[in-house]
Amino acid sequence: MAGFFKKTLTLLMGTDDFRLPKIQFGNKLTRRDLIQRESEIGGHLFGPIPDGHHRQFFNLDKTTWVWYEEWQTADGTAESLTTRYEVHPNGILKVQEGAPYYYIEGQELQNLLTATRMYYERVTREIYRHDPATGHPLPA
Amino acid sequence: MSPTTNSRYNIPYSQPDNQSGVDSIHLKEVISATEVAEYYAGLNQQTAYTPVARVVPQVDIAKEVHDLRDLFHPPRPSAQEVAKMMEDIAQYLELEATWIESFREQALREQR
Repeated sequence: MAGFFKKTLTLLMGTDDFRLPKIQFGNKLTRRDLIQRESEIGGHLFGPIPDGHHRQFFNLDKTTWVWYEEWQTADGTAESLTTRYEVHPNGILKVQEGAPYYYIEGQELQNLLTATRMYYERVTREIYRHDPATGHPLPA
Repeated sequence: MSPTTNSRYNIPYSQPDNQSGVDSIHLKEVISATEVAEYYAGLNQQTAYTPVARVVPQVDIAKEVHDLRDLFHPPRPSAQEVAKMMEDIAQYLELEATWIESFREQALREQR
């Protein structure tokens, strides 16, 4: 699991000079650990994941949302697809390797909006223990 | 019918119970017949055809068709509306990300 997350970050950040620490309670968490936890929640926001697929969806920074999907073809070849959604003042630019970039609209934009809302709601509540509506800490 | 007997079965009606000689059963029959007459008279009056101006609803057929078309095939928003929506959503996503970032920072701060 850590492998493709590392690969995604490598792809996005342009470096492979990092080691992904195991997330364990008691260990000091890094920003990357938190994003990885978020991405586990994010991967399940779009419905059931097909067998043999692994999916992650996460907020990388203030202006970048990432969809990463990895699967194996019938002949066992590993395939992956990274889609980056860049937030620009005039819209959301969809960036995929080898595909023309474009500003998403219509149903695709609505789906992304719904996914980010759910992501925010769940991550805020389940990881950071805050009320998504008020931003206040949840009672222990 | 005789006021004092039933013609078919020859059963005597009750005799007059007062000096006026009015048979109560006979009286009922008379009243009933009158009421029926009045009832039908009234009914006829109510149902009599009285021509009134027919109110024809002013239906704008073109508008009706247009509304129906909109119902099944909503009109596409204008380019200006789409642009505004895209800007609003972009702002919203940025706001969400800002909140998430602040929660991350807070979580990291609290474990130090």
